[in-house]
Amino acid sequence: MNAQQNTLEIKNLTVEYVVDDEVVHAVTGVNITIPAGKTFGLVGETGAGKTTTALSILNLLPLPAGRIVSGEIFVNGQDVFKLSPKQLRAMRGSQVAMVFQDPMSSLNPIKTVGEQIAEGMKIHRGVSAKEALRQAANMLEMVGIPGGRVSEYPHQFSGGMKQRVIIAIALACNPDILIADEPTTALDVTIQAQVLKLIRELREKSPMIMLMITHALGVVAEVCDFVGIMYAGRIVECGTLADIFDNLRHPYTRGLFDSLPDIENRRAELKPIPGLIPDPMNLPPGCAFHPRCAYAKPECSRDLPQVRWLSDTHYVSCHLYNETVENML
Amino acid sequence: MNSLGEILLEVKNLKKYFHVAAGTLHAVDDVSFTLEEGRTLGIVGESGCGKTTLGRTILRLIEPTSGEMVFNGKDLRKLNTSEMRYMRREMQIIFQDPYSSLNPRMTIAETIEEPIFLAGLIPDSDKRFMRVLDLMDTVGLAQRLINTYPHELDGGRRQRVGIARALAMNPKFIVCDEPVSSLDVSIQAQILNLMKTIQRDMGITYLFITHDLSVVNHFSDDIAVMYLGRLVEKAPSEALFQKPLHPYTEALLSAIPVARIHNRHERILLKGELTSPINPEPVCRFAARCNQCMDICTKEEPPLIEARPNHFVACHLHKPMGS
Repeated sequence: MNAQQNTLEIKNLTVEYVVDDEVVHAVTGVNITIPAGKTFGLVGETGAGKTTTALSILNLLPLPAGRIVSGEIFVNGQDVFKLSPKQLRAMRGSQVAMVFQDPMSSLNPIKTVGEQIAEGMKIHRGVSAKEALRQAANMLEMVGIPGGRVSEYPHQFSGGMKQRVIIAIALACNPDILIADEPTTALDVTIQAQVLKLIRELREKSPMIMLMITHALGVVAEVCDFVGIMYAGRIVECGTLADIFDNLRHPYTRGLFDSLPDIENRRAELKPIPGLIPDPMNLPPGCAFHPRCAYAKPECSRDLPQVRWLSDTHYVSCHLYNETVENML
Repeated sequence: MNSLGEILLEVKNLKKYFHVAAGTLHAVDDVSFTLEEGRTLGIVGESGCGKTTLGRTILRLIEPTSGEMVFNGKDLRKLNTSEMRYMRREMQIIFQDPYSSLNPRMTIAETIEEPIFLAGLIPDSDKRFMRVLDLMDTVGLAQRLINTYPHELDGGRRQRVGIARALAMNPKFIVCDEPVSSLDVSIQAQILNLMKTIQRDMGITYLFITHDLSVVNHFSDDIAVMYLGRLVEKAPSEALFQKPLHPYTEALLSAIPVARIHNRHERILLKGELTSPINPEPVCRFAARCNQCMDICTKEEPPLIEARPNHFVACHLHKPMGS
C-alpha cells in the first residue's frame, strides 16, 4: 500500500451555480484533508454547501449550472478535475462511493437488490455475474440482512433495510473513500441507532475514510473523528471532535449547539440563532454570519475573517480571534 | 370558563381501523387519555405507529371507528356537520410540511384571512385586515411579507404562516403534527420558542405529535408513547425520561443521538423493525423486539395500568399501584 492510499484532500474549492444569469456562491475556499481510516463530519444547515462539496469530489455537479471556479481535489493523490471521463467512471463507485440521503428514491425499483449490489462488482472488478450475485449475498449479510433476500425488490424492504442495501451497494467494491450524505436522516431513531452501529463497525474493520454530511450534531458525536462547520459555503470552524464539542470558538457553532434541546435539562431555554441563512446569490459583505451574530464588530461587515489556527488541529474563521486565541464566547 | 387544571379533552377507547387488501390495519387501537387545559401532551412514536392518525381522528378530520372524544364537555362524535364546523374554531391543526400545506396561489394575507372570513368572525374587511397584521406580528412575520406567496418564503416563515392561520380563530386547542421536523435546527428553535410564548400568552392546549424525543422532552408537560397503534406508556415528561417503565420507551430513549462526547450512555439496540399493524394478534405488539419478553407477553395483550401515580404503562412487567 503506498502513502497515497485512502486519502482525500480538498484544496481551496470554490463552486458556483449560474441560474438565470445570477451566480449562486455555493462553496467558497473550502479545504478538507482526511487522513487514512478517519471520518470527517461536514455539518451545516440547508444550503450551506455540504452536498455541493460532496458532489465535487465525484465531479458530479449538475451541469450546465454547476461550475468549479477554482481548487483541486486529490483522491489517493490523483487530481479529480484532471481525470478523463473514462478515468472518472473507473473511479466512481470503485475508489469513491456515495450513500445518498433518501433510501426511498435512490434504489432502482425494477431491479432486485442483488443485481444492484452486483452491478458495481461486474463493472469495476470484472467479476462474473454469478460470482457477483454470490458476493452480493455476502454484502447483505454484512449489513445485517439475510443473504437469501438478494432476489427481492426494493419495495419488499423497509426504510431502514433499504438504507442498509444502499450502504451494501456503496461498499461492494471496497472503496477507499465513502461519502455519506445524511445517511440516517430519513430513518426512525431506533433504526438510525442500528445503522450508526453498522457504520462504526465497518470503520473499525477497514482503513476506508469517510466523509459524513449531516446537520445532526448528535450523529457527528457518534461516528466522526473530525468536524467542519459550514456556513454559507465556507468552513467557519474545523477541528477534532474534542476541539468542536469541548472547545468551540465560532459564534455560529455556539448557536448550533444552543439551538438543540438539552435532553438532561428540559427546562433549559432554547437560544435560537436569530434571523435566517443568507441568500447565496446575495451574500452579506465581510463575514456572511455577521447579520445574525451577537458578537459582530464593525470589521465583521467589512472584511472577510482570516483563518486562524488555534492548535495543530483546530482553526476558526472569525474576527473575534484576530488578536487572541482565548475563547471569546 | 375552564381554568388551568381542568380537563379540556378526554379521549376514551378511541379506535381507527382501515380496511386494506391484506386485512384490517389497526392504526389507532383503544387509545385513552385526558388532557388538561393549558398543558402540552407530546405524542411520540416511530413512523407508522398511528400518531398522525390519532391527531386527525381527534379533530374528526378522519372519522373514528369507535370510541369517544369529549372536548370541553361535548362529545364530538355526536355533533352534526355544522356544529362540528363551529367547534373547529376552537380546535386547530398545524401541519408537518409547510411546503405542501399552504395554497401556492394565495398570498400570505389571503391565507391567514381565509378562516376568519369563512367563519364570518370579522365581517368588516378593514378590521379583518388589521387582525391579519396583528396575527403576523404575533408569529413574527414582517409586514412587508403580506403580499408574498408561499414559494417566496423559506420553511421557517411558511411554518409561521401555518401557525398564524391556526391562531386566527382564537382556538383553545391545537394539534401540532411534527411542526418543526422539516426545519433546520436554528429555525426549529425559533419556532419552538414562538409556540411556547403563544401558549403562555393565550393559554392554548397543545397535542404535540413528533418523532423527535429531545424536542418532545423540551416542549411537553406529559408524554405518551405509541407503538403500532397502542398507547404503551404515558407519564409526566420528567418521570418518563428519568424512569421509563416500558422496554420500548427505554430503548427509544437510549437511541437518541446526543450532541455530547462525554458521559455517553450504553445503548439498548432493538432487534428488527416495526411489525405490521395489519390484523395484529391479541398479544403484546412489542414482544417480538423486546429484550425482556416473557411467556405471558406472547399470550395476552397487556392493558394500560397506572403503575405509579400518574404514570401509565401497558406492559406485563408492571403491576397496578397497590396490587
